[in-house]
Amino acid sequence: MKKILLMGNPNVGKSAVFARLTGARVISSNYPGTTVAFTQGMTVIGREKAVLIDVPGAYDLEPSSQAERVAVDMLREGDIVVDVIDASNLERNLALTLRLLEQDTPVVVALNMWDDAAHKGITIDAGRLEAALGVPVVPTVAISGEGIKNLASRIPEARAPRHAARSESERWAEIGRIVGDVQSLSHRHHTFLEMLGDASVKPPTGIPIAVLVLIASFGIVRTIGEGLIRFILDPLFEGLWKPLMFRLSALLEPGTLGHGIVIGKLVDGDIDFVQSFGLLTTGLYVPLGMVLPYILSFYIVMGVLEDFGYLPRLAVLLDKLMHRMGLHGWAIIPSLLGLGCNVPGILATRILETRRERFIAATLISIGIPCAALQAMIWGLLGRHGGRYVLLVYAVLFLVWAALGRLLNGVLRGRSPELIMEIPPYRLPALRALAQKVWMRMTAFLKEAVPIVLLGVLVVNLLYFTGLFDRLAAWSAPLMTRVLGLPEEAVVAMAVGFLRKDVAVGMLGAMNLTAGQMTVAVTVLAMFFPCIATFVVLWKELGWADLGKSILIMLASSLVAGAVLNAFLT
Amino acid sequence: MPETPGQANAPLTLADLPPRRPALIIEVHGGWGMQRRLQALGIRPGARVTKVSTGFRPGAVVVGIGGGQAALGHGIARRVIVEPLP
Repeated sequence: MKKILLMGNPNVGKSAVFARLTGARVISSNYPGTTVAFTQGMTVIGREKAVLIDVPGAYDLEPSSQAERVAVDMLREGDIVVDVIDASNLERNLALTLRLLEQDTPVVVALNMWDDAAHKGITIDAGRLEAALGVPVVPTVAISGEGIKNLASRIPEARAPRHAARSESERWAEIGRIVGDVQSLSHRHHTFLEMLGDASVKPPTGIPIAVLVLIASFGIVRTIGEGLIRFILDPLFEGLWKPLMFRLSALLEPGTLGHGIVIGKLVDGDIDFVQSFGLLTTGLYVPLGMVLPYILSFYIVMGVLEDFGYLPRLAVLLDKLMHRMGLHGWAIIPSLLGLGCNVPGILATRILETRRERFIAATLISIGIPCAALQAMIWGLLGRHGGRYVLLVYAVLFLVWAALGRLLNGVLRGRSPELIMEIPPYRLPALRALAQKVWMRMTAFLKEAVPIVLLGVLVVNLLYFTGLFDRLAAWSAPLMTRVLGLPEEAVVAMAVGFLRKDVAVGMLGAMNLTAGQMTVAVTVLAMFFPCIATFVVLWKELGWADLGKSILIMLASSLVAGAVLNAFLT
Repeated sequence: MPETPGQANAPLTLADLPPRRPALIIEVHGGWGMQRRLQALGIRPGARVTKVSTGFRPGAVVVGIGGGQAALGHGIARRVIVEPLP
């Protein structure tokens, strides 16, 4: 079967073209570097089936980041390249196109974002571009699907003109000649979005805008999440699910092992979805009733920010600050993604250039960036004691994140490279693509999280019934009680935190801790060790040696933070 | 490298260029890797840029180039020599 590669500069819409040609669902956003590993799907070209591969964006065929390296390695395996270029930025995009035309693989050019170019007053004569390059050129608007059929029908016409290799300066001269020949510009005024884009990076207007965006995002996430819980999920669980569980409880008889695992313990004769801790009570209520609403609201807000194009502008504003932590502004994008789930956040550090940066960024994400599931549980359970405790947890995590960043930057050898980044124009998010992205992230959460939450609840019950629970608690008592001021059983919650941190907070919530103890416990829990999914991705990205270092840093800093917080709160 | 902008004879860099000012890139100082990455965004001798902004104390520089915009760390912006255009 033929392999067709989608290649092009970052943020030209390759993933959107991919989604159109395969019908597959992929995540695309309005900033460079969304795709850091290749995705493949099936498509039909002519009458033949073919494999279509969505390759991470590259500016050049000489890689400068891990994501670009993936792209260059893929090129050797492809039978046809569909070079996706941004029509509104022809000059820059042609640099890669000309490099591709020097290779042996046949090429078709998709002149994407045709609508954007028209808005910017740019007209391109596709026929003349085709003649100049010697390969088919098809105008497309991938996000709306325009021109995609035409592109598919012309893929078999791909050609390899095998241009003679040029030097950099010869290539730019050639690009200048081609652009002058095929492109004409008409004068037009700045649009509102362009003015807003510029205002977002100029410090006097950009900083107030950033503060507003962050406060608004936080407020919207909370409002939607809490609204869903109060008006939909709690009524469902209390009104519909609980009566069913009571019937099942009577059937299984309280006190038996089966009842303990399925329903859990009854609290004053009642099923308490947080405290009962059975598979079908707490095991379902934590992921579906407490976490899912916040996952949904977080990814709606994040999706809007991503697709609008705000994140690279925040990266520009924070560049100076991030340098003190051995990173540059771009590192804020993986960090924000980590607020949803640490796993995609850590994967996104692949857009950073050096190993040193990736180590710092990944370590800081797993220590200082609580995922949405953990945050939802902290709001749900610690929030009952008062918002200031929740605020305190965030403040401590932020301080640790910043202080540890500075420390690592001082201690680790090497320097951090400087920011070089393309700033995409602001675009109004396409609702269909946004809805699809939110849907994909939600289903990924359900598929990956729910089984592990259930496993976590099962493990807790088995530990309890076999008596291992007590032995583990007694063994860790000195650390838990003396240093952290927590009851010794809290160690089991910490251990379960390795499976899922939301379940662990659920356990802490069932322990009747004081507000101060709960604050210490969730802070330590957030920092001390990655959950299993994060652990695996850290190991893959950093290797054993650096993972070991990273975990030592986590353990040490969480104990220090926990002990200080304990001393301060009691 | 000149530390004080606007000195007589000191070449003007992208970092010193005032906002909204168009300019022609004269020279890019730096290693091969950096030159290549800048080139990929269209920042190369002979290209026309328009300054958009400089961050605080001093921070990243944003320029309009070709049909788009690019952000450069301050250290890099100081190594891009420009000549202001009217």
